[in-house]
Amino acid sequence: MVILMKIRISVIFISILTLFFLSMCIGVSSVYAWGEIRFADRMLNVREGRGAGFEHVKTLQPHDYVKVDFIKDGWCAVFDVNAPTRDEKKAIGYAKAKFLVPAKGGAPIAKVKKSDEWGEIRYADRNLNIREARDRFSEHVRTLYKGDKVKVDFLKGDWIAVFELDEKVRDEKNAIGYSNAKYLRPISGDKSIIISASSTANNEDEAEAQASPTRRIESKSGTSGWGELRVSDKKIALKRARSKNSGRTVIIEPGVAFKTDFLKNGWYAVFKEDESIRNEKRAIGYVSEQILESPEEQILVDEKAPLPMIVEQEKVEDLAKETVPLTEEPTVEEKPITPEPVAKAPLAKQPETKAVSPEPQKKAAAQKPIPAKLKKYSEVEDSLSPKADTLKHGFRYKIVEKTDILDDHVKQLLLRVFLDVEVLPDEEDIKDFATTIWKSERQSGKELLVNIFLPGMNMRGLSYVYARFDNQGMVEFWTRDTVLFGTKFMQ
Amino acid sequence: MKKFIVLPIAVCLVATMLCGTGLAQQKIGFVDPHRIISKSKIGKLAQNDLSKLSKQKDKQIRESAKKINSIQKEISDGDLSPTQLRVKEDELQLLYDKHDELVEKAQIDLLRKEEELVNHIMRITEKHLNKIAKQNGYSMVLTNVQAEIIGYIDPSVDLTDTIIEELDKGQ
Repeated sequence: MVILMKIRISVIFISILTLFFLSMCIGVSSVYAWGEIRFADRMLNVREGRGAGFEHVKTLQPHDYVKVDFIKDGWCAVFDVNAPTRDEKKAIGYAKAKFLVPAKGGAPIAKVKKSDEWGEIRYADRNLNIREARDRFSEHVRTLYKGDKVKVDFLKGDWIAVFELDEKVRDEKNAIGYSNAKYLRPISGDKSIIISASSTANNEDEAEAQASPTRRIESKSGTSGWGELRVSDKKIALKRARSKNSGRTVIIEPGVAFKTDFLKNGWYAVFKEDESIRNEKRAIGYVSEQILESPEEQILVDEKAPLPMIVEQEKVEDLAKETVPLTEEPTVEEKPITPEPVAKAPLAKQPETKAVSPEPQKKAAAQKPIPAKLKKYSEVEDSLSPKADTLKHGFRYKIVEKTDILDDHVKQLLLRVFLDVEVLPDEEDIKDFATTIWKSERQSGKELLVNIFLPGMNMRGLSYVYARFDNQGMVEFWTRDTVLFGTKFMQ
Repeated sequence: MKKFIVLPIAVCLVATMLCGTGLAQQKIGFVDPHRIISKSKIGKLAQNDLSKLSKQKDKQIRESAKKINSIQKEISDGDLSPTQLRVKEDELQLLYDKHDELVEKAQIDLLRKEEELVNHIMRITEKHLNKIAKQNGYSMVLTNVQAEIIGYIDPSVDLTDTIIEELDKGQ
């Protein structure tokens, strides 16, 4: 009897235990029986509500895994991958469902993929620039030569991140830089993504892809054991410093030999052919490596006036419309040279052999008076800033660059404008100025982007003002105080 | 017998000490880019700039939504003729498509501009980081990405606050 009792008790106990474990299993599985694991296919905002107008909560990075549920109106509630309870109130926030891709097999254990599981090997189908950012105006990092193989990933728009072939870690920060994806062909030879480039020199893509050099530059051995002797079949305009925005010094005529050395940051120092002393201070100017290798980037000069190699003065017919007086042997320093005010010639005038003081101030006075707060910035503090040559709406300015671009199938005309001011203008004044520029520069069928830079800013970096116009008028106006930090406009 | 036990142990100890000395000469630092963006003055300026832009985009989206609502109301009021109704419905469909495109573009544009500003700050940060790392003899400075793999960073090698101080000087 007692034994029977004991058996009964143990059976009951075992049953209770079994039931308990079963219920635990059901409970556990019910935790994961809701929602769907997805990952963001791009950087994605999570918001407080189902709409772009709601406050931003956090940003998901590409390949961040989350759990989603309560999908409604194209938006879904976003939870942590391990969120146990299906409660919409406990969601992190809401995101657009179409940017969250269902993950097959649930969330991965590790975020970092193995080296051979990411990216794509491609080769450059022509000489190609790698840039610091996804922007053709960003700094040049390296040149890929035709046939060079690289690993690519993180395609965004037309730009793709470029990595060394043996790069193991899939991290965009490890990229060498960025290039236009259409010039990097898959090794398999798939040509479906390649779009034929236009042959016009003004086309952004053509300028971005380095064409094969059509100019014959013969490199001869240096006469004094240093440097490289070159001969060009086109005129080359040298710069005062290693920057496109620095002033010009001399023009080298076709057929005239010169020597190059001290390659740094993509720029060569240029010397006379018979220069025997290897000292950068004796350079007569600087030329970009790209110009020596690409014919499209030649700086044009006035073809009517034949010029010897070293000239006293020159008249340049381009956007700059400035003349640069020269001495026989100008001193070129390593740092950007601050031009002496005395040496400046008047704008758009026949140059004289002697240096004259600049006349723009008198010219400005003849036009409508400039308010005190827009006092002219008369001294050139930074030789990298262009020279303003036009007065409009009370501002002295210069359009440094006009480029046609295509952004997501929308034709745009991009203007980079240098504004010569000494104090930071009011936002309303700048808005009016930008609108005035739009009225004079707009082209039908294109949006106009006006990027405004102030003195001391890097003309190749981010602008202070970003204004976008369509056919009707201003669509967007944005000022970036961030880029003023550390400049004289914001200490 | 004792020799065979003591000798290898001694060799291991000496090797460990030598390795330790070698490793100790390798100074490794750590920097947290997220904290730089959120705590530095320039980072806060960037956040303000993005907030301004976000408000502009939101305003555009709200205006677009307002247009849609107004046409929806016209349709639902029931005062339109069949022809007018068809026209309004076509118009509404166009506005819906434009609105979706606007929202999508706004998001992409915000992300892109955020990235530009962050890159701008990181370029400046890198200059300060190079200077500080060289001055203090760091052979390597890790960021969050690499740190995730390592798992633990001693606060004494965290250079983030130093970098923020340099950035805030505004040079």
